[in-house]
Amino acid sequence: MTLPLLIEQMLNGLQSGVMLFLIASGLTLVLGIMNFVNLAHGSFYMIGAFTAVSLQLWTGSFVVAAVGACVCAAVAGLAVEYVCARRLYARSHLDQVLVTFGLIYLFNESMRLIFGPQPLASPIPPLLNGSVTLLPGLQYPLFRLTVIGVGLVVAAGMSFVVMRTRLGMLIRAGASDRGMIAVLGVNITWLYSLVFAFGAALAALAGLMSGPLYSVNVGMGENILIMALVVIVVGGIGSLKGAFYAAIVIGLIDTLGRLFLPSAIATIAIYIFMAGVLFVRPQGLFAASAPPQVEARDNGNRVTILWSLSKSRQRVTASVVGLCMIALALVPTLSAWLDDPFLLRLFLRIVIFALMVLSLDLVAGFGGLVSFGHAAFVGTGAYAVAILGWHLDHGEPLALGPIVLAGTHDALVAWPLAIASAAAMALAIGAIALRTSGLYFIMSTLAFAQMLFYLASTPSIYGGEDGLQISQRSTLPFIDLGNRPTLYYLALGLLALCLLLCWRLVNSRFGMIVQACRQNERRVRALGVRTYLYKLLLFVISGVIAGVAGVLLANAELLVSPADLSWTRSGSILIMAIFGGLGTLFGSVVGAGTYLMLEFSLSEWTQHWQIVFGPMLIVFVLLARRGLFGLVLGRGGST
Amino acid sequence: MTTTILEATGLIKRFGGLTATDDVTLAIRELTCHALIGPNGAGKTTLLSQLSGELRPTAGRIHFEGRDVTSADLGGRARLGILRSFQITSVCDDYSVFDNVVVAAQIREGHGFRFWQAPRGVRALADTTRSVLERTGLADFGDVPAGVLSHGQRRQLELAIALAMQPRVLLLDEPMAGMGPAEAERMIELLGSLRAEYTIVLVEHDMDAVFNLADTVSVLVGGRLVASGTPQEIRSNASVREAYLGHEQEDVA
Amino acid sequence: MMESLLRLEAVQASYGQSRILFDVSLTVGPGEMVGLLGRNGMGKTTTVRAVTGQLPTLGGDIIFKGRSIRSTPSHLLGRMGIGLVPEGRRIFPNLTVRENLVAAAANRSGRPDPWTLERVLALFPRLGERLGNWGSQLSGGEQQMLAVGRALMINPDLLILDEATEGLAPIVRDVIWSALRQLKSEGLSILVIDRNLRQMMEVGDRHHIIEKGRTVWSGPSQAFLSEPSLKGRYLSV
Repeated sequence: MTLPLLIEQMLNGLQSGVMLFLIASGLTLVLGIMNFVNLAHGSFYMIGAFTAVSLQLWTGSFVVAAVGACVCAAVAGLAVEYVCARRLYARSHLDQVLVTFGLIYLFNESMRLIFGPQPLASPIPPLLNGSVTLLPGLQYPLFRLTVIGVGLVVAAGMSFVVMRTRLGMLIRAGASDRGMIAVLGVNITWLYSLVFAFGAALAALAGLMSGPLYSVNVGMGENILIMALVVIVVGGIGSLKGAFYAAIVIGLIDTLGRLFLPSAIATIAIYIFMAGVLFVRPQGLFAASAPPQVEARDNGNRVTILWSLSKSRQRVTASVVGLCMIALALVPTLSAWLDDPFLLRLFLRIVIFALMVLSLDLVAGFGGLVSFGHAAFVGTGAYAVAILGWHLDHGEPLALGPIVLAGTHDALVAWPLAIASAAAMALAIGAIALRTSGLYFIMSTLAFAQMLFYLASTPSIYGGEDGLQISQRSTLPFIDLGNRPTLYYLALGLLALCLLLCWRLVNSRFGMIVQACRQNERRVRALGVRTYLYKLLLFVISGVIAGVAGVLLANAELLVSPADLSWTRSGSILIMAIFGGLGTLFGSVVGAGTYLMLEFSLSEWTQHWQIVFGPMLIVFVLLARRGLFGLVLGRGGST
Repeated sequence: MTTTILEATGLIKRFGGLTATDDVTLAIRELTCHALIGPNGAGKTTLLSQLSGELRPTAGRIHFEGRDVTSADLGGRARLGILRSFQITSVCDDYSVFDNVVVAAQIREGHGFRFWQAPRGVRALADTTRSVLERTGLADFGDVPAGVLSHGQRRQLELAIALAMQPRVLLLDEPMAGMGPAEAERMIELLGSLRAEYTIVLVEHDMDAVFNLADTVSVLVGGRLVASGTPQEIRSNASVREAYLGHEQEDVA
Repeated sequence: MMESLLRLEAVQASYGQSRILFDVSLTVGPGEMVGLLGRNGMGKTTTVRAVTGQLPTLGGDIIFKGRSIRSTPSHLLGRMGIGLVPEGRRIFPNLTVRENLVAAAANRSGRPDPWTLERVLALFPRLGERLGNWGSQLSGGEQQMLAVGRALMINPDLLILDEATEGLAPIVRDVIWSALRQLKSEGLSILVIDRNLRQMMEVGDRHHIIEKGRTVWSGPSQAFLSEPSLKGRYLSV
């Protein structure tokens, strides 16, 4: 390692840090002032990049492109604020997450529709092409230097605006006491729109500068969004200073980590850093003076739980559930009769996803713990099955410290191991994430899941981004899982069993306490209960069910890939849970079924199905709050 | 003369430069109702929070039945039988009234790491719950979700939850706050009926309630205990009148 | 009878399920200082919150400058000329003293002799020494002066003070009261909640007593002083 190389890498780290800051600053302001989670913030980055590339190709001027991109994103930001965000400031973070998730679908698919699926290459503007000799032996690209310069100038400019101007004073004052600002005669609505649009323009600025450095493609916003969320969690929600330092540190860790650390650890170094920070300071390093009021609002999407319905309604519910299960049991027969094997595949998928949703419903619906990284536990289970199989097939024993396993396809060995790994993962992630609450909890589960996603994507014997093929289904005595209907019946049986166990669980003493925690944790603690342990155990139980789903997923697909751990998968599971109605258990089946059938029929109709699905999701959240299962059952007790 | 059940000695609580509780020594006698009154910001809730274990005093000790409980937290003291109600009503809104109480009753019985049987179906717990609901005038509302109760009923429920824990001492923070006259009267009646079985520490602004219920009244001003005595003694105490009416009493009186 | 600047007619309000105001009526005339009396928890602060648009009313009407402001949002009330010194001061801790004062400053009514930083500093010279300090670094008294100054900087026609001398040392309390005296002499209308009866009676013109969410007595200072039983009934233990 030579000194010039080290300096070059540090500059690279700085460059990626300032880009992160540009994204994170807008996000943290919106979060801190409006208490609004905007997952679609990455879309402004993408819009900026795409607009800039096309304007540049069209006009040939980078300046026109840059201005156009920022203006375009600001207008998009204003539109988002006016149409969606405004209606959601007073709603739960969960609603905000879902609506902005829908916006991501909409924006991504629109870009794909307009610009096509191929990544675009953005030329470096001629003026900034070439490199500068910083030191003897250290040539550094001029464009990257410009990015650093622009980033630092913007940071300084923001610091000036926020610290020195009246607008900045109002923004800071709004972050600490919104109500008081209004009493002083300042129109908060106007301030909100402005901050939103400004944040979008900054994200676009980062996006347009990223064009020549990386490729411009659909989905570019999501990766950087997650990094920005890590920055915010580390820096403290609402703190610009925190966002700046955290962004630089994370940029440096990420870049230098790739240089000094083994690749598997390098990709997750920033998440390990975040876990460390959260462990020591659950509110981030520079949390704004008063943490935003996050508690107590994350209850919006609940419907009345089965048992608390009246006797007659309980009977109705039981019959609905019974009929559904019978119908599900008839699917293989129907599929054979219609000679349509796809039907069975679809329903196998529905049953497996229902298990995932059930697992999430347990923590989110009953425990009030909105996990945005649930795919991680499913994926852990699936990968465990695949990895054990791989080691058997390749004759390479799997060494886990002192324990050496030969690898296996035997379900009686592999499945318990897989489920245990999922549970252990839930224990590890839950132990840290549960130190936080509200928004920090949502974000930290998301970030941890992303950590596993990158771990799985790292090139390794397990296939990296391509995923890992599984040579055969697991073997069980007397039962041949190679036969798809058999696998389906087993999955359905496991789903029924898990539903039953969960139903008992949520009504048990344990379940009563956990649900009481969701509604009013302070109350339960005041009665002498150590609530952390209850929540952690609930999280682990949920991990077990997710593990079961993962095992079945691996067997159904015979392929595991990082996509099974991705945050879009976690988001889909969450959407299914909301579709079905949180806190309903059986709603998981309804939700998974609805989502997957909708996805199937929309994608039959158009390949750009997400452009329809995104707005549907937004409208659904804005209008129907009680889930489909809730709608089917009619009005419950609570209002 | 009954025995002292809860005792604070030389209690001091500082927040930064502010001394919210300033050398308070207080003895709560068993099976009496002890009211804490004083103007806003006098440190009544702060004192109550120290008695309940929510706040740790900067200095001083708290004894419960002769045992030093200063280091026990809110949960620890709840397990000992010191229960507090909150100024802002704190119940589980999605739960029915019955479930709110049954949860408390089951917590009283021990840990909740039991995963199969529903506590609602357990005879002993259901009986406790029903008798507590009867007691607090909520017997007819067992199936009603707590979220739709009236404000006064919610405060009754709050009390019912505390009673299900079979407490020795009830720390009540403004149980009458925000109630209409009729509701307040019902609550006073209810608290009156509890006086014989429970030790009650009451923070309240409603003077009708205080003088109706309290055996002993202590007056806090600026974190200091300025007077303590029977309601009659307090009513006729000049320094108490001054505390309530401002510092220039002599000028106007 | 002069036209009142602010008039509350049988206002009702609640926090969620909890009903606080049942029947509050009061008036503040131009240039008048009116006191709001009553024990803690009787609805004085809630009344102020209703007037400043921070709490929706359920019934009755609130009229300011001849217009009903029952459903007017907070920020428009600020612009119409209602300045608030809220309970607990609520200064912005992450802004400096100067920033607290100028952040929302405005002279929307086009007053010929508007409140400026200089005038506020002349009223509270102490703040001048602390201009560069963060709000969070101030003592309670300084915070209170800042809260009053901040409200003046929007050039209100009506100034509302909610427990503006609560928890302050006597000497600081005197500073606030002499400022109020000066403001009144300059013709500002003031609605004040305070426990300091002597000052209230000396400076204030008229008073309303609120008991359990209702206005139970209204009258000028002399009337209050000539009826000692009022104090015992509504304000004392």
